[in-house]
Amino acid sequence: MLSPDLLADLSDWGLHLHERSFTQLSVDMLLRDLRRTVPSALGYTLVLGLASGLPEVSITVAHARLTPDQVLSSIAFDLPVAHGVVARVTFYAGLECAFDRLGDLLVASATFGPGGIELGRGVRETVEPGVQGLADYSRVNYAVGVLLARGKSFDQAHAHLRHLVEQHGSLEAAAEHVLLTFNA
Amino acid sequence: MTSTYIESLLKGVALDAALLDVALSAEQEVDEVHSAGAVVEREPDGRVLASTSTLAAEVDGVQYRSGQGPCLHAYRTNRVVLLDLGDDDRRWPTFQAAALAAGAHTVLSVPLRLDDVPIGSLNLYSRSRGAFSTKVIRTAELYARPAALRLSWCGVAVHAVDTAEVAALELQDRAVVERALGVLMAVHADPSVERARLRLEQAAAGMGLDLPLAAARVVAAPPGPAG
Repeated sequence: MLSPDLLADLSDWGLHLHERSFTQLSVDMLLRDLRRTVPSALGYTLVLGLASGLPEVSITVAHARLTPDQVLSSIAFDLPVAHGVVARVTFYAGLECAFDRLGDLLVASATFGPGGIELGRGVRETVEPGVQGLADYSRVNYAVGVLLARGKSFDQAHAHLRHLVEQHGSLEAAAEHVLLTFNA
Repeated sequence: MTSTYIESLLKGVALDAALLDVALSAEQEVDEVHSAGAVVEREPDGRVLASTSTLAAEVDGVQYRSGQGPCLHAYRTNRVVLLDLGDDDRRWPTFQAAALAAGAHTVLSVPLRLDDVPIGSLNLYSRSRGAFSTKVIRTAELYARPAALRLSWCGVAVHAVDTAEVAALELQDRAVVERALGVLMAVHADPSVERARLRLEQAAAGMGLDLPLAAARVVAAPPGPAG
C-alpha cells in the first residue's frame, strides 16, 4: 500500500484530469514490479521536467519515508521518454549492491546506456513519499494563463516570466508576482 | 501466448544483451553444452534471439524459418524437450537434418518463463550422443528459471519509461487545464482557482467536451474580459 501522503498528492494530481488519471495505478504497478524483481527494493523517485521551462515535478513512491540508514544502495538513470520530456528515475534498496546487475544490463543497452547511469550506496537525506513541485508547476501555469488573457502569445508569456525572474529571483516568485497583480 | 502485461515488460531492446548473457552462462554452467541459444517471443514486435556460436545460430535459424522444432515446441507447450538426433523421433525433420549437419547430436530446449508465463526458450546443443542426463536436465530447468527472471530487469527499466510517459502526458494535460484556469481568473478578475475551475467545467459541459479539450480551446482563443 502506498503511503497516505503520496495517495493524497496523487489525488490532487488527478484533480484537473476529470478522474482520468492513470498515474496512481502506473506508479503503484512499477513499485510492485520493482519489488518482485528486487525483494530488497524500498521505492523509487521519478523526476519529470517538461521542456517548456516549467518547474520539475518529482514523484517518490514508497510505503513510508526512507531514512539514510535504511537505504543501502540505489541506481539512477535517464529514461528515454518522448514528447520533449526529460525524465530520470532513482530506485532505492535496503541491501548493498542490489542494483549492480541492473546497472550492467543498462550499460549494455542501446536504449538506456551507457551514459547517465549512477550506482549509489544510499541516500544522504531522508526520502519522503509524495509528489514534489506540483504546486509550483500549477502556479506557473496559472500565471501563463493570465498572461495569455492579456493578449500575449505563449512564447511572449514565457519571455515575460523569464524577465520577471531577473527581478524576483525564481520562476515561482515571478509567477506569484503575476498572480498577485493580474487584476490590478 | 504471452499476456499484454508481460509483453509490456519485454519491450526494451536491452533484451538483446540479457539473452546473450543467459545463453553464454548456460553454455558455461550446464554440463555437456557445446552451443546455446536463447529466444524471447514478443508479440507483435517479433522475436529476439541470441546465440553463443554459429552452431546454435544456424540451427535456430532453420527452426524459426520453418516454424517447427523443439525450441518452439518448448515455448508453445511450456514443457522441456529432449531430442536425441540418433533415435527414431522424427517430429521435426528439417530441423533435425540441419542440426545433424551442424554437428549437434542432442538438443535440450527449456522454456524461459517470466512470472510463470512462457516467454521463449533456452536451447542447448551438445555434440555428444545421448547427452543431458536427468540430473543435467534438472540443472538446466533450475537454471532457466533465474535466467528468465533476470530478463525482468529489463522489464523494470522499460516499465519505468512507461510510467514516466503516463505521468508526463498527464502533466501536459494538467498544464493546459491550469493555463485555461489562469485565463479565466484574469478574464473574470477573480483569483479563485476553484471558481475558475467551476467556470471551465460549465464551459466544457456547454461545449460538450471533456475538461482538457475545453481547456485547449480556451487557451487557443482566450475570451475577452467578462462584463
